[in-house]
Amino acid sequence: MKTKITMAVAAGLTAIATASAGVSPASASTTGEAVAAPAAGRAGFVAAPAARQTGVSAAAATEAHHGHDSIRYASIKGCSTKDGAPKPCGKWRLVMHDGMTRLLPDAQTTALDAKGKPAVYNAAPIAVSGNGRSVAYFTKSGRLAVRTLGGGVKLLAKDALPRVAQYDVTLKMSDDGAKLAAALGGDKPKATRLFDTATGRLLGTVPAEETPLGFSADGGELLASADGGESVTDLTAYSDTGERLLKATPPQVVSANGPQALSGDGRTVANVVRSRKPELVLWDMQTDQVTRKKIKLPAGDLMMVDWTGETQVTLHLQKGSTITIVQIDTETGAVRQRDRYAFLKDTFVFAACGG
Amino acid sequence: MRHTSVSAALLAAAVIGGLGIPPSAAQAQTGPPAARAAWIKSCAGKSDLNRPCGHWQLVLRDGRTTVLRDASPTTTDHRGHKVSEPGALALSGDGRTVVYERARDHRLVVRPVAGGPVRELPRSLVPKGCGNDDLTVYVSPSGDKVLVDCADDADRVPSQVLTLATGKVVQIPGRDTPEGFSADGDEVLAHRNPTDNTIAEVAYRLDGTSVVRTPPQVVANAATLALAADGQTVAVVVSGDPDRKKRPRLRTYDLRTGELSGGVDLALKPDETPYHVQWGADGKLTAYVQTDEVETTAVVREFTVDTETGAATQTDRFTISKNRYAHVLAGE
Repeated sequence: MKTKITMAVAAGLTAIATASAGVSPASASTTGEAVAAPAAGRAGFVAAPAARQTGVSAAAATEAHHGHDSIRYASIKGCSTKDGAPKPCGKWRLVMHDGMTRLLPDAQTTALDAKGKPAVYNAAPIAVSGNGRSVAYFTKSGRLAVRTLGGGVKLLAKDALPRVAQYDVTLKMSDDGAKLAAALGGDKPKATRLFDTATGRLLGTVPAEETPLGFSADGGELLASADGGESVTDLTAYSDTGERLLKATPPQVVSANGPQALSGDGRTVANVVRSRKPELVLWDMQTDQVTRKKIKLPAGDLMMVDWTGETQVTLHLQKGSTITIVQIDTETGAVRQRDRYAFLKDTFVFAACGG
Repeated sequence: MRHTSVSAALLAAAVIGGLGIPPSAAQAQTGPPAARAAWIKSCAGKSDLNRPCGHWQLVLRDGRTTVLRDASPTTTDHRGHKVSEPGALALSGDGRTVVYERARDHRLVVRPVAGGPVRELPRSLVPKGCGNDDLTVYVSPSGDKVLVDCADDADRVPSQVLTLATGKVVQIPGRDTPEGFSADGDEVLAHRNPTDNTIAEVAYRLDGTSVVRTPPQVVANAATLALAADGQTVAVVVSGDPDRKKRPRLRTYDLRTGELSGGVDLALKPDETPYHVQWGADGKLTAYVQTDEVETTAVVREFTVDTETGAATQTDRFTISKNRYAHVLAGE
């Protein structure tokens, strides 16, 4: 059975979409994308922010990002239930760039509600860093954890997050995995918490009314969107400690074509017009200047946009169960395919590494 | 083009004269009856659905109600089959001219509200393949022009503007969706949806020239817009927000320069976002606030708005029966 599920994908901050009815994803993005579910008809897409650290040489960065032993995506299996609705089951699987699969045995599979009871049709949140080296998730004991390939696990404090339903939590990591944002949605959203993943320290918070879209390329800023009043959506750049740096009302071509991503310069927002005539749009939050470039894109719905270099934006496109990843040169508009894969057919929901 | 009120009155006189009404009938304010609105009754239909029924009623400025006996309560599709939705009907901004779908043959006709001969509009105003149920009709503020828009999925069928006095027809490209006439009726405000998911606003002069601009979000997302007599100044009504206790706001946007005013709060409650606004030829802005809950009496209030301060002075108030299926305001 093919099912259509609607996902809110906002440059990075992406909710886990499940095929279950009545539970809405945590993200409140204004830039939703309809995602045709793949084979099993129930896979959702969890995006992780991705961006390349500026100042790293291209070759080194590419290797660091997408070496054969880095994570391509995380996936959880969908099992059928008596009432016909699929539910997540088994352990989270990390599918590597070399095709190998590793299990994440300590990660929570089914999201728990605020009272700790399982919400069987919802997968617990997970996020993969853009470089594919780190993954953030809830452990089975309910702690937030960040696991780095070859580097062990950092458990965050027990009270790192207030008591909320796990399905209302959206996790986002910076490209290098050094920062973690936990957005707390639901009926009464709470301030987004920003963590240093090496120390587990809380760096700051971003107001609850702001929907985080993702970290900037170098992880130094967080881009967020909010209702700006007068029926307008504003974008705001926050520092990684939660300090408001820049706030502006984007032009229609930016607000109407999400998701949006912030460059390492902390002011240039990239987004893509996905139409018969695709375009890359760059908007300077400081000067309000817009630059548009015609680009050629492969088929598929646009899932993620990330800055992955000073002049490079990376897109994730999904068509059925196939993900195509392309890199756009922001100066020439040239598009190059970086990766293309079909995710596991039994996938209930998955989270790709970003750039 | 901006007319003085005198020349506007003369223009209206000439037009209505062309319809066989004595020119004296067109004198302002104290002249013949003008309609504030029109409405059609609701009856129980099959499978619990209500349907329009009875005759269209005109709510007159002097408090009386008249019946438009030959206006069709229901409409037809492109095959000529009956559709249980109200027949096309529109009133000029001054409330003196009504265009409607005639009951016996479903042709569009125009008539003075005060009574008098009915004039058939050319059949060609309704494009081939377009049902009456696809039509949106606008009458210019003074009643001298009629705009007919056919909602077609492909956005290919042009809208047509007929000047009643001359019979001249001007087309507006099908990709644009009309929103109404400018204050003096010399331009039509329309919007366009380019392929980049934005909304562009276009002002068409009836000489075929146009001004187009992609406005900021606040204009694109506005509750309602109105084009001034200069053909470039747009009144932008921003919805109030009862949850946040924000009043509706008014801004002006210049289609030629792209200049957006800082805006003012309207002296109305957060849930009183004007449903429709209209510039007068004198540069004043009139705003209509209405309640329109099913099976309750509709209350329509008319305000004169000070565009500099947002002050709103109520200039009229009337009600429409709770038994209505639909209603149309003058100039809407």
